[in-house]
Amino acid sequence: MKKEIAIWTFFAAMLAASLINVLCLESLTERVSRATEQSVAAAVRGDWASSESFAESALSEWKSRDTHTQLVLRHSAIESAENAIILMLTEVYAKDAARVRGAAEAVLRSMESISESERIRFGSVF
Amino acid sequence: MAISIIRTLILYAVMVASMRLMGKRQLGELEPAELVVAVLISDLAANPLQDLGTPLLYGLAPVLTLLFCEITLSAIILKSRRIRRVIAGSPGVIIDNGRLDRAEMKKCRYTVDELMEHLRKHGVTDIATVKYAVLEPDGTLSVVSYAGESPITPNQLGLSVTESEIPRVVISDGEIIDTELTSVGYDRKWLSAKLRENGIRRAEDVFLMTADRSGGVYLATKQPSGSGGAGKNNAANIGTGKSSRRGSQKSNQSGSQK
Repeated sequence: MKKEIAIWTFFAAMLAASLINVLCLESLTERVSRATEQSVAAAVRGDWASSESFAESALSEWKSRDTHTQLVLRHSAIESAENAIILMLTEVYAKDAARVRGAAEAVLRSMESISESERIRFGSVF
Repeated sequence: MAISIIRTLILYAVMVASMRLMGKRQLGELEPAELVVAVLISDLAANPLQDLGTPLLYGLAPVLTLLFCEITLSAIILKSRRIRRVIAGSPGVIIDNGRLDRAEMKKCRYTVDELMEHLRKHGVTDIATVKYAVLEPDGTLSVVSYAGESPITPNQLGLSVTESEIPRVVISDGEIIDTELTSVGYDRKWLSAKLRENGIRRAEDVFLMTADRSGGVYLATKQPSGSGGAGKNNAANIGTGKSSRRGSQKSNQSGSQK
């Protein structure tokens, strides 16, 4: 019976960890998306200093959870998200508001896709 | 990760149910739940190994989920006979008191050809000699012949026989295995005496030696390679206890012949 109790405890812990992982990823993607949207808003206003600051914070926010994302996300998804944020940052440095808006859209889509894929819904299970 | 756990739980349940519905014929000495784990586990483990871009957790989580399913199902099966019958199935009596049960064969989707094949594997060529044939939940056939067709046992002849003991390997390729030696109730002193008795000075000269509790010993010595190539072993069965097999001396290549 010890073996059974051990595996049930372990499974319960694994299930709990996976649910916490969903919440952590949602929180991360939400923070990156918010910083991206604030960067776009600042760029549209012509406040490039703030736009740069928000875009950089989006990148550092994403990078800060590198170990976690490497463990739980496909590496292709991580690279795609990171590339999208860097592209947006490049456009902010170039001070082109229209292109910043386009690049930000790619970042938002990427974050949404990561968040959606981990969320437990009928569609994502099947 | 949560998605992969849920997916594994669903897949496991569907596959166990499918295997159960497929019937006993599809199984090869494994019960449905065991077969499902055997089929799934290798594929799950291979995926993150082949694709380095896939996190290891994507392979580990489903494998651990399967382990959970398997242990949980085993625990439930132990507790409930009814659930055991649902999950593992129950034996099907194909030949009952010499009568072929066609309805049971149909239920098990078991053909006459398969029955004959399984009977032949049991050394039965005449179906009329079979009293009972039972198709087990793991897909194997158990055969019980009529008493008149069964081999004669010493009890039937009123003979007294000595119970055989399981021999343990006490020297393997020159190395003494102390745990095995003590498990049959002997020690190194006994071993040295036994080797001296057979004209062997060192344990290193022995290729294989087995001993059992009744004193039966099997000995195969290492011999230097002759011009013929690979070294030969000199094998001997020596019995000092009740089940004496003294004197039978054989030589062979592998040293495993008795």
